[in-house]
Amino acid sequence: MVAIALAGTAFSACSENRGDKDVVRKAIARTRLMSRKFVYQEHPLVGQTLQVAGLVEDDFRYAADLQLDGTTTRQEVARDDTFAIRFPDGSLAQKALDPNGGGLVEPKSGQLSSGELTKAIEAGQWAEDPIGAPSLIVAANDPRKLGDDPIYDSLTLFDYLDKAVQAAPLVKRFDPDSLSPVYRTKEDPFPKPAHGAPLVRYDLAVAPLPKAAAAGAGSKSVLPDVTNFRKLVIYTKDGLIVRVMESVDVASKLEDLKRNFKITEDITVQQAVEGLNKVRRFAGQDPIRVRTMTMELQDLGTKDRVQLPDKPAIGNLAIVRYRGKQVTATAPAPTPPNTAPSTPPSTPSS
Amino acid sequence: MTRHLPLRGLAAAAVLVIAAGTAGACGKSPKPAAVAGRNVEALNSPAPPPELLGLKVHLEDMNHQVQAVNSTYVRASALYSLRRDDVVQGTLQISQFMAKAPYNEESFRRAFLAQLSGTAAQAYRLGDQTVYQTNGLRQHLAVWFRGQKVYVLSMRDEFEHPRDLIRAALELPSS
Repeated sequence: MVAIALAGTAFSACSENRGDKDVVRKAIARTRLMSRKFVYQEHPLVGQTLQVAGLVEDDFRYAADLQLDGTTTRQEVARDDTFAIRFPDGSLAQKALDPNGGGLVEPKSGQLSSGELTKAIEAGQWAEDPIGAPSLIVAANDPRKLGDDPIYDSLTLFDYLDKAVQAAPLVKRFDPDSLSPVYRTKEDPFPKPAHGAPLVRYDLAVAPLPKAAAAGAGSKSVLPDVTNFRKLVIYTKDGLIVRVMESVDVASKLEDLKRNFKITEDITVQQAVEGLNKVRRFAGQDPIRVRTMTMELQDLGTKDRVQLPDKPAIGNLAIVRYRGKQVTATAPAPTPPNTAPSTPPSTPSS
Repeated sequence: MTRHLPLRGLAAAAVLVIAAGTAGACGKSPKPAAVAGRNVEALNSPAPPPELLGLKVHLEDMNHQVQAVNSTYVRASALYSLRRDDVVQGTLQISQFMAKAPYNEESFRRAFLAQLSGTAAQAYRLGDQTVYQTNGLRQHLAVWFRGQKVYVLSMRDEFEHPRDLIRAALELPSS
């Protein structure tokens, strides 16, 4: 009996328990290939409640409406290279506009100047840019942080989920009969699938909070990150993701934070988050966004198609922050090159 | 009358794609299915229309470059230039693998993609088709596999409608 116990300990010490990580990652990979409708909702600790409702036809085509506190404030449509945007209440457009974003390039024939396009947007009209569709590739050097661009957050949720799954210490299928559930029953805020239901829930474990003394001063590893506060569950049906629910909760960890980092007793949750994020930013790390988030995926495999708006104002939508294509004015070459683009390096030789 | 000047870049690109099949073989000795470049035939079907997204389509001669390839899994191939005002904006190479080539295997496809560019290819879903995109030197590359054929679309990085062009090329008949 002792031998068995020792062997078990040794095994767990030298191999990662991946649990159901691979199962969930495959579900992510499968679901992202599907056309779909979605509703993404976020309740941040600070700021407005938001919702993005949208349709993804494929990776180059989407339509999305953003609501803040229940009011539609922004609508977007991307169809291949074409991008259209509307701010129903044009007075709310200012925060999203970057007056210098369009550069000093003269508008093309049939297109409005930056100033004219801004006026059209502020009047609540649809504006369209034939080459302005944004890239939805998640780049490591992207200046946007979670919450800066909710439509982008909703469209790139699968990348977010995949990272979360990889970062979680354990991913485990929810079992109502389990004696060692990922979340203790009283600390589990998420709906539980009924016995025998086709819905399957996978739980991402919360990583234990580090201690200030666990590493040398200035070490990145000692700073708490989102995995120390995040509870996230992924619901699947027939191997496809149908719902995601997340709670990034510092309040329930406040006492542990105070103890581990010797923080003053009378600190509030908001002060703790602000202080932690200040240190994280200083260390070059992304801030932690305290929030609850839900994403509902509907009509997987839908045949609905993304349609561009009728009679938009046409121009360069680089005047909208994080959208459009930055065009730089360059003098035309005296003789245009008559070759194809140059060849990628390292042609293999046989 | 349209004049067509020599295509230095295109020629090299053609060799690249033809030779990539060898890399997919994953070995120093050629696999039994591989053939010498001189045996690669002209691919007559499918042939794109005379215009694609407003760009003039012109069949290019890549015979000389293909001859130089020692070993490839490509049975037949055709290279088209896509021009606006006689300036090449991109190229479309359609190749057919040999029947014995493992063209349906993911590892073969990944090896093929790895030969095209030093950067990892990103997979996209466009309609029902998976399209791999990667970047070369001042150019974008889009690649998709359809049955025994592979399509390689290269575009200048300043070309303003890369997604529209990929979509238009995807709609070409496959036979």
